[in-house]
Amino acid sequence: MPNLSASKLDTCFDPFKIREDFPALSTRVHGKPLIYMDNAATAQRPQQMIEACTHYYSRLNANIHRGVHQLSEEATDRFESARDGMCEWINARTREEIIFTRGVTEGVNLVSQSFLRPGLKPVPWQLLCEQTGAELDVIRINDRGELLMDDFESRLSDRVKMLAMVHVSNSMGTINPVREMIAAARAHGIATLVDGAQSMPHMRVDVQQLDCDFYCISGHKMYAPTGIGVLYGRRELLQDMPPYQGGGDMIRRVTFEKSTYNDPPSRFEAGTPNIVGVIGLGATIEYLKSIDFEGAMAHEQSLLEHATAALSEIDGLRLVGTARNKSAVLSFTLDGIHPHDLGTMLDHQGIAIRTGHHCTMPLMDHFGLPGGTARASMAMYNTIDEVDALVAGIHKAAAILA
Amino acid sequence: MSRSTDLPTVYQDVILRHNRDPSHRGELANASHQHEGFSRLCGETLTVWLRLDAQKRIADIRFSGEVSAVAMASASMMTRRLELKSRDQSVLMCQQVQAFLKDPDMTPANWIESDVSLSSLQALSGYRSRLAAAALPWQTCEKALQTEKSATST
Repeated sequence: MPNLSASKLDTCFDPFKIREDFPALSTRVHGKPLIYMDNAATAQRPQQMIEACTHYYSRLNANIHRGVHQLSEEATDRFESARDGMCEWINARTREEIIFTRGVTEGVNLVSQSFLRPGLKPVPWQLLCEQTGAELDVIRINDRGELLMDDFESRLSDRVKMLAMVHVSNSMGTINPVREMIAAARAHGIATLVDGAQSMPHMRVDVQQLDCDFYCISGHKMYAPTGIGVLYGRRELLQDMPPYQGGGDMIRRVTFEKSTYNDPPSRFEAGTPNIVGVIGLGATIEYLKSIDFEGAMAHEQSLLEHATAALSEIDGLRLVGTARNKSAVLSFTLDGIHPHDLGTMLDHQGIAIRTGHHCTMPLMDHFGLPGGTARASMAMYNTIDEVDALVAGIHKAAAILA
Repeated sequence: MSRSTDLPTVYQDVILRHNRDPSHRGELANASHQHEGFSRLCGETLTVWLRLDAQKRIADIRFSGEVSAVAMASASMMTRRLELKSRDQSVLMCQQVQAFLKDPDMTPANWIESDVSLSSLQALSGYRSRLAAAALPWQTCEKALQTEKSATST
């Protein structure tokens, strides 16, 4: 196994040094060096994580739990130490509050099935409403893309069962004031769920400080493998929730007449899990602990500041999402140019961004953007030079497309 | 024009020319055939409206949708080339263009190869989402011709 803690040599964050840990960043695209700014879709992966996954498959491969042989025990250790790593990283109270899922989507489905309507099939919020007669209420936003707190507070009542929100918006970068909102919701006895897909790679999250009931995490957005994620759940709530799926590990005792459920987290981890995903996630957390993460956060904020100023100077460019508290996501449109054509012209120059609706069509409707936006989303390994290349690339694309 | 012309040039010479002044853009009130096509690959949605006459020829054709310049240009070229063609001929042409855009480095049907504007879309090779956007009008039109008034994703 690579020695993960040895890389913490600098106290000053150096994005160029960090880049060396991410092999995919040296790829060339259409003959040009890759400038990767599609991090809100998925992040690149550090070599340390890739090696941990390779090590598992090539040296440790075995199924976990209940094994009586050495490989199984070692694989179980690696798997369970990833749970400890995540528990510590997000400051959960106990390791039993960490449930491995496939990602945020499965975490939300698990809560929707097991917490909100136990015993029934998992469904997204809208379908849940159709099937149960519940109502979906939506908090309004202002033109900056910030939630309107007055509107939010006016919607709180004892009739509200759950408050679900993103910590950071994927399409606009808005960092929502989730701590204050959770406190307000709790005062009304409302359960809270936070989608942390976009927050985890860019800020320190402390679930006890937030005081949320559920926090959903996707591994692949935070430099870990795809297909693995975490649902943090408050222990008291998990204890009373029925299983989400049937299968091995969720049951303590089986007879043909009756099965007794296991305790969390096993209760919610039926069947052989994504072992390599969990081990990769564990290695990623170790990696994040080994670098100057606070320095990375500050660096991302400087990228945001630089990019916001530079993009604002481009004629006909409109930034969508200008919240005062935001992460390094720049969503924008250019007059008379469809985002997809712009995206292709940037791709032609080796610059990878995302274009379209970013799975937030109601938001695009709100801003009157039928074609969606172009979105450049940064990570800690992006550089000021790359932001300048993006700006030059947009000028070049606009000269061709306008 | 050579078939190896680069992407920015094709954008400027062909795609944007159609995009600025597309043919047959709009809706058709008395359409006999209509289909809303969606492509997962490019994330765009476009509707093709057709009116077939008694001889099963395309008497009128329109397209609508807030689409990229590539899809817009491709739709504009398509409407010009299919107008007054028979239904069977049109289906064949739609299929041939889709085959061309699926693998633009292969030699296309003769009529496509000799069509300077259409064959220049070969420059989109290597840009899969743009190839999908270029194919969207043709696959939508094919569906429209084969199914009277419908809407499914493609």
